[in-house]
Amino acid sequence: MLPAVRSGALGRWRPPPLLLPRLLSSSSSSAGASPARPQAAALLELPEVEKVLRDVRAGDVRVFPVGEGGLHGSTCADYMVVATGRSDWHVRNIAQALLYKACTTLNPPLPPPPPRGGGDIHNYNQRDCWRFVRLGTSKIKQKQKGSDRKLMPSVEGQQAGKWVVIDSGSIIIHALEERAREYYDLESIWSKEMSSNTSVQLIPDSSGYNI
Amino acid sequence: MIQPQTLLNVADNSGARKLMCIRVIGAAGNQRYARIGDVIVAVIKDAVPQMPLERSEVIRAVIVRTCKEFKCEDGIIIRYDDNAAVIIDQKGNPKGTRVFGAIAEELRELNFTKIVSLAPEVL
Repeated sequence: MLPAVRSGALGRWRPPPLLLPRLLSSSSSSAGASPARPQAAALLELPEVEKVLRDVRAGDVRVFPVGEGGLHGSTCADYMVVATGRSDWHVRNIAQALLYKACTTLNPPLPPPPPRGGGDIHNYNQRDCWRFVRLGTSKIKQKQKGSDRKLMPSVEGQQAGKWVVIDSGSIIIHALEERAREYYDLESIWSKEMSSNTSVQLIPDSSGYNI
Repeated sequence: MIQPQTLLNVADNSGARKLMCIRVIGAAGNQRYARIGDVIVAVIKDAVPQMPLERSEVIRAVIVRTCKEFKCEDGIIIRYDDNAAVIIDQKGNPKGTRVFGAIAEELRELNFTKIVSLAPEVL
């Protein structure tokens, strides 16, 4: 009976999209070296995200650690990354670049598994990865649940291009157009949360409508 | 369980106060109630003056809180005190810039990460 119960519990238990990366991120910050990660393969990591954002020339990249201190605390992500794109096209490209990065480095996607190590992974998979990016974005629009969600970062708002969110578990990347970034003013949410984490009712009064 | 004619509160700072559901998006067949994460078409019944949204405007909204209890995948059951929705546009961008009150984490899996990241508290 016990194994059956346990397997049932495991089946229902939502696999930790947050637990593992959180452990990894803390260990990587403490140890400095890249830890062995057999299972966290699907998730982007902070240095890689920053590098990709630099490569595609996203403007004004800011990283907010919202993990333990903020109200988002227990269930939401560890890091929020905000970046600005110059146009809809640029914003969409930022998202694509991040997806592509997630695909190539961390989630060798389609049937032929690349040989471990070596720089030729990139060339080996390039076409497959592009297919993945395209298929993935169309697939992602469906409601995702459970295991699918862990495998690849989910993308939201790719069509509109004003605000694209890439949710890869422990890191959520927001790519916004300049005007959208001014309008939503995401920085003030998370910088405010760092200081005071009780004012659920006070926020509407203090944050004006900046239109 | 949100159906046409249900009155909902607005959980953002878009300027509307009360909504009335007039259609559940994706409702097929005789009846289908909207629950957390569903999109509805609604009419603004009450609005804050001098805001872009006005009374009797037709908009889309995502339901974020329901009085009917909502069962998470991990077995937790959540029940809120009110029915509340967040106004979005056709593309899924929220109209307001802040979301109030507690938001269920399931919205993130239903691809409303924007709303979740604007929220002050995630359950």
